[in-house]
Amino acid sequence: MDGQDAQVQLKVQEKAPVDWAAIDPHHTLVLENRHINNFLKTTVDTKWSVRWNLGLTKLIEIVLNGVAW
Amino acid sequence: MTMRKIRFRRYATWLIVLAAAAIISGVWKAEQQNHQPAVGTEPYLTVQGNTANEMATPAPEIPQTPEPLSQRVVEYHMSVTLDATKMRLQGSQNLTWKNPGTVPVKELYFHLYPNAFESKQSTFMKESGGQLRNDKAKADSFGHMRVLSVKTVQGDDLLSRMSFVQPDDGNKNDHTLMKLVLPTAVLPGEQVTLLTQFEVAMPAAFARMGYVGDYVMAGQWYPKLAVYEPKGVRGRTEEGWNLHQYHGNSEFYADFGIFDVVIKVPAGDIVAATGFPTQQPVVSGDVKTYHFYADDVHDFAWAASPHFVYHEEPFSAPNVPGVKIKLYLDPKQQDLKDRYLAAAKKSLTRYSQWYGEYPYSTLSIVVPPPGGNGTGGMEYPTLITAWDATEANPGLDLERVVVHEIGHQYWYGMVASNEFEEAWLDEGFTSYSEDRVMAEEYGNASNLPIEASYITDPAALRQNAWDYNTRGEYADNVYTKAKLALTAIERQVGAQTMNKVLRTYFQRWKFRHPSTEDFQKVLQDVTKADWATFFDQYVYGGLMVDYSIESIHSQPVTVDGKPLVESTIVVQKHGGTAGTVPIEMHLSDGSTVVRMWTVRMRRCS
Ligand SMILES: [Zn+2]
Repeated sequence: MDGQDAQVQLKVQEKAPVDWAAIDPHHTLVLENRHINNFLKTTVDTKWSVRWNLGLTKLIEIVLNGVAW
Repeated sequence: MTMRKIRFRRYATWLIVLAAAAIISGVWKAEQQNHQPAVGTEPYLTVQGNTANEMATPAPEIPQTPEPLSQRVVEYHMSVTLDATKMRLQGSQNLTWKNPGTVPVKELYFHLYPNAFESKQSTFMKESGGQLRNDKAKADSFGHMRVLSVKTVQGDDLLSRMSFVQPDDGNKNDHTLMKLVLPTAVLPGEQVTLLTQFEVAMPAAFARMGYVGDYVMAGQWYPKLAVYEPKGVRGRTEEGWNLHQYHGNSEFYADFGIFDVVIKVPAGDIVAATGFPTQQPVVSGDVKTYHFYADDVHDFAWAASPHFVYHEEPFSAPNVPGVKIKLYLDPKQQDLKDRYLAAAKKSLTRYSQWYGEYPYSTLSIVVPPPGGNGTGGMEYPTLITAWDATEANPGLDLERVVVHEIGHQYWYGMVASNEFEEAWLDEGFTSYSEDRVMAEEYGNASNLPIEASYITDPAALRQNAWDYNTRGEYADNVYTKAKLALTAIERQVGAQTMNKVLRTYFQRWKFRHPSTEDFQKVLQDVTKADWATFFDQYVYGGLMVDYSIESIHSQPVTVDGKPLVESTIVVQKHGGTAGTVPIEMHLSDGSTVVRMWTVRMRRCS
């Protein structure tokens, strides 16, 4: 693996599949400013999750518009 | 300057965003807030203020520094009278400038900073929209500086040789930079002396100067010579003046020298100023006259109010040979004396231990009255302003602003970076240092992941302050991103080596106006590593670190006859390169696998 590359594929062979993965969960990369894409989960209850995501996006928008300047 | 207000407001926003993200993912642990200090908070000591009449100040001190610490290119002898009814200053200036270069110089340039507030058409007002931090310019926020006469010591009038210049934007309505063509050139190593009369109309407190009631903060109050940079300074290939107007997003840059200042105020006023008093203030009729002196500084500021509650306390530490801490409190906060003094002592002790000696004999802390935040949270040589006294019982913001501004005594005051062109060298280094003191002395660590999250417009750290698109972008970069870049370096080299880097940088460059490249060279010298990639990405370039997980796929495999699951995780780099990227994978059986994506650091031979 070479960090100069733009992309890396990690392969792990274990008894169970990877459920979710997180980059730098302990925040050692202090210059990382978009933590939101550091995490991915494989299996979710799609219906519930999509609905919640939409609702939260709206909520964030409202909050941001209200507070941002 | 301190950026508290921007930070605080956006902090709250991002807490909500992160909280939402936490709900979506269902995994993130709540970030530790660190709003309140857990340990190490200074206790409130409600000692009855010993409101010592400062007339009882002991006899004048004698300059303690036999050897000049700086090149002392300028020498100002000034006298200024405050007309407190009109909030005007009448000043006279006897200025001597030594040509530090190798060619004759025919023109001098002066910053007339108060002209930023002359009209809505000044570059400062157009760029800032009349707002700085949370403070808005008010209807009475106009102010100006008029040069009434300029003469040579022989008495030749030079007023007609004066003109305003606008090198940055050509805005003819901007009168913050004045050019003066001399009758005869100043030869290398020679000097010129000019006698100037000037007048300042103080604005209502806004953008670092002005008044609130009968409190007045005189920053940028005199015609201030620009910096003539000899060849080699900050990478210059040709010597010359460093010329910029006063901008919405910019602080200052000046040369070192001597300031000898007589200040006349109403008899009831108490004056705080850069340097130290050379004699007791003298009252004659309605007028009280102070006389201050400072050397090896590059600016001189003062404040006056009849309401200051004054305390002073001598202090020394292993690298603080002897300083008098002078505190000018607002009556509303007179019970908080010990918190201010403790913050000052902790700061001086730490910074001097880490970076080097605090060589001055005074440090003055001015607390503006309620409504005076326009002048609060600001640094001048040996004089700082805290937040205004609106709150009788403030939180750790009280300490944080004192710690920050005293940090500036090192990076702004002594190292004296060019804040027009490389503000990060001052604000970033000061914010990084402030965080260390607040964490170590007050147990109040900054939440760096959250602070990083609100950098939405990352930009190059080394660029003109006014080239950032907004005030927020300026602050996010020169304060926060800069602080994070220094922290990233610290994480790579270790705290001890980082301390050696900063100490070496301070010791090598104090009183000498270093550039970003000069800091990079110190870093490379001390760590014996090549930091070009890091600087190209984060300092000269506008990148942040941004990695994402693009996909996770699992499929059954058979290894050595055993059935296993092979999971493939794709990680994408969107920003700059980080040294080592940890990737934590959680399996459905509850176990965890951690992998590192590592980049080798190139090492110098
Ligand atoms: Zn600052």
